[in-house]
Amino acid sequence: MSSLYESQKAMRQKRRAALQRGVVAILDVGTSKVVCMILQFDPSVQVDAASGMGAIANHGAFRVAGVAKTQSRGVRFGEINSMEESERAIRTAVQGAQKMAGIRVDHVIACFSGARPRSYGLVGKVDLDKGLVADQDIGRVLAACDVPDYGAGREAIHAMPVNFALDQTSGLSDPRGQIGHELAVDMHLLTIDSRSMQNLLICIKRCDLELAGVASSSYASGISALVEDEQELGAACVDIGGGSTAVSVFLRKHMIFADSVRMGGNHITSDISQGLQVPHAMAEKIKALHGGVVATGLDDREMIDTGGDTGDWEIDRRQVSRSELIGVMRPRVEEILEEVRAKLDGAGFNNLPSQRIVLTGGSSQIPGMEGLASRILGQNVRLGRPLRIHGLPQAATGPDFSACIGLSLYAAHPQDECWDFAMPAPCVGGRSFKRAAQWLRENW
Amino acid sequence: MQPINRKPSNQGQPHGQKPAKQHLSYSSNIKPLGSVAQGTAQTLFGQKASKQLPKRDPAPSRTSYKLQRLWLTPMVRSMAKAAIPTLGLLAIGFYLVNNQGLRDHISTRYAETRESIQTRPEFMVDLMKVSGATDRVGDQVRAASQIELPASSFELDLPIIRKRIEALDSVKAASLFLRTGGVLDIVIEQRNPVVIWRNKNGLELLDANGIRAGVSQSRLDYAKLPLIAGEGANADIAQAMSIFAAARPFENRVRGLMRIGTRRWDLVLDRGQIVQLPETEPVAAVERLVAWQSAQQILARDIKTIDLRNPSRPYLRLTPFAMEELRRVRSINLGVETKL
Repeated sequence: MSSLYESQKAMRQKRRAALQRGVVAILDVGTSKVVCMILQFDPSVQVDAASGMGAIANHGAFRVAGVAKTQSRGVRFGEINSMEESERAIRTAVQGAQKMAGIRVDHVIACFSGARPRSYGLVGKVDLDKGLVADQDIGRVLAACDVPDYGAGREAIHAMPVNFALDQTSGLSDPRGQIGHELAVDMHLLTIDSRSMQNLLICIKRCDLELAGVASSSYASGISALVEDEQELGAACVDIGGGSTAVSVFLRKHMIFADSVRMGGNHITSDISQGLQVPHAMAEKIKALHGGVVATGLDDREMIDTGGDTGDWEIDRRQVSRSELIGVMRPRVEEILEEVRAKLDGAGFNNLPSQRIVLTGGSSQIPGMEGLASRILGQNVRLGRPLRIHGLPQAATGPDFSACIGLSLYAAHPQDECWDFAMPAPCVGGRSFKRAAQWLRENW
Repeated sequence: MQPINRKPSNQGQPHGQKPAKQHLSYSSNIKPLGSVAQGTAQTLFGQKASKQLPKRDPAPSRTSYKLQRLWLTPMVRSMAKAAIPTLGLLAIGFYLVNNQGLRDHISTRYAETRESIQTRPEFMVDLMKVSGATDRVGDQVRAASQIELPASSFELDLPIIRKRIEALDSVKAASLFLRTGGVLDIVIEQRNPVVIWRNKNGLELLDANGIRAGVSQSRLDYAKLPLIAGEGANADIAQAMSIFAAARPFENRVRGLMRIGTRRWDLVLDRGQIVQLPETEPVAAVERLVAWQSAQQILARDIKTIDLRNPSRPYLRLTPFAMEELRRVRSINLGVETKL
């Protein structure tokens, strides 16, 4: 955890440098689209967390200066598949956003939609020497968390203290200065496949950019699509994207669980393409224009020209009824939602006080989605659109941009993570001494 | 059996009646076949055309991406926009200041180029045309304009030439035009002399407003113009002209008008006769004289001066001989012996 601690800490420093320069880019490398958003920060409006201003109150601190969206290439399941192609897509998006903003941007905060996230709940416990919680005690208790063996090829991207408990009192958000004997912490650790993170890092480096932070897209879309009450009382955000569906559960304004289903809108499209035997582009078009999940009697009579790309106009003048289309789409949507259900059940979502589920992401716009989701996931389902942020163009306000917008909120006002606290001295010092010795050994 | 490709005729069907159902369906069967064939061709062609176009890669090349980022860097931008041009200009200026030969070369080249452009035939003036002036005034204008033709139109300063021309007494106003074909057109509005004024400096020509319209060497050059004389005679040319007009019945005897004391006129006739006119209403006095002349031939008499200054009582001054004769006649009438 220490190497990670350092790399994340370095990223934090870069983020701070970027905020001082006042410009940072948000990069969402998705399966179906790549979005780059350039944020301009006004340092005079910057409000620190100590004053009690939350993420929403911090809105005025930044302005969206440029947004560019391009079709994603070389990305599957939210992971980079072809480096060259996705680098080109990132370049296109970054250049477009820079052109719109007229600003050069060097620091990028990126998010992952795939990369097989896995979340762990960690518990740490420490005895207080002075009977009073001091700043370093927080670091100590975070360091005392017993980290599970999450595998060699994985890396933590979020490690957030979710809940502090002092002796018998649980549910503290900031225990500093309080009196007690034993401090315990619940930490939410989210790990992802380190290979895909490395790939993204290389891609971004090849675009002459520096990574100033990473976030899971399930977390980001949860920030923007859930309203404050939902985050407080407990809700799940389901971001149905192109190649993967991100699931996150929030309670008391902290993410307590995140996962992703490796299925999304692209699978619906390929189902249509295979089931109706139409080209992929046409399948995408009829999905977007005529798609649905609930068939009515009228849909039998609504015929959709599928055309075809066979070159033989005479025989390929096919039409499908809308109910056929729905018949192709619905099983896949049901499958996705059932997977989401399984993930939520595994996370114990049923035990939460409120079981609100918010659907967002591009595929949540399929008509009838809400009704179908409420049948599979539970009664309390709504469609969520992201918050409005300053300077956002109208074209980027749809639910498919909720991860981007959440990421920009995260960039403006990141939640405390474990690496924001000072690690206890012996651990850090011993480590650095060891590293110095190793460096000497290697070079002489 | 009907041929397939012939349109079924309506022969045998009564006019106004619908063709048989069979015919309708038959004809509607044929038509789509043709149109289908056509439509297929077009659609196929269109699809082919769109397919042959390669999909354009919207991604910028790595070089253009880097260049754009470089251009968006504030330092580079301000360098390219302000610093480099300023430095360049400064360097050029410094080099010029320190290089006399180059400066000379530039100035001679500049002068040569300027000269070669100015002396192009399109810009040359070869001809001067003076219109609206008599020959004599025209010659004066030519001389006064001080232009040596042919000259480049760049060198002709028309306002100055115009001032020079208008400085002539005989020219009231002048307009100058550069016409196509290298013609300098000078349109003159002449100042016409109406009287000739003899003063200390000689003979001057005056126009109706008393403004000098020229100088004459000899009275004979302008024999037709009436003569005025005396100091301040140019002050009231209009009155002088109306006096001359009133004296027209004996104009062949009029020599001229003499201004006396810069306030009134003497009408000078030949044989040394002088008609003294009043300061006010001299024309009326001349008209009375005309009446008098026609009644009594007063001017034909041996009178030296007719004093009309007092309108109620004219005075006559006789010549000494006439005075002598008058006395003699009077004494005869009185019966006095005359000494012979």
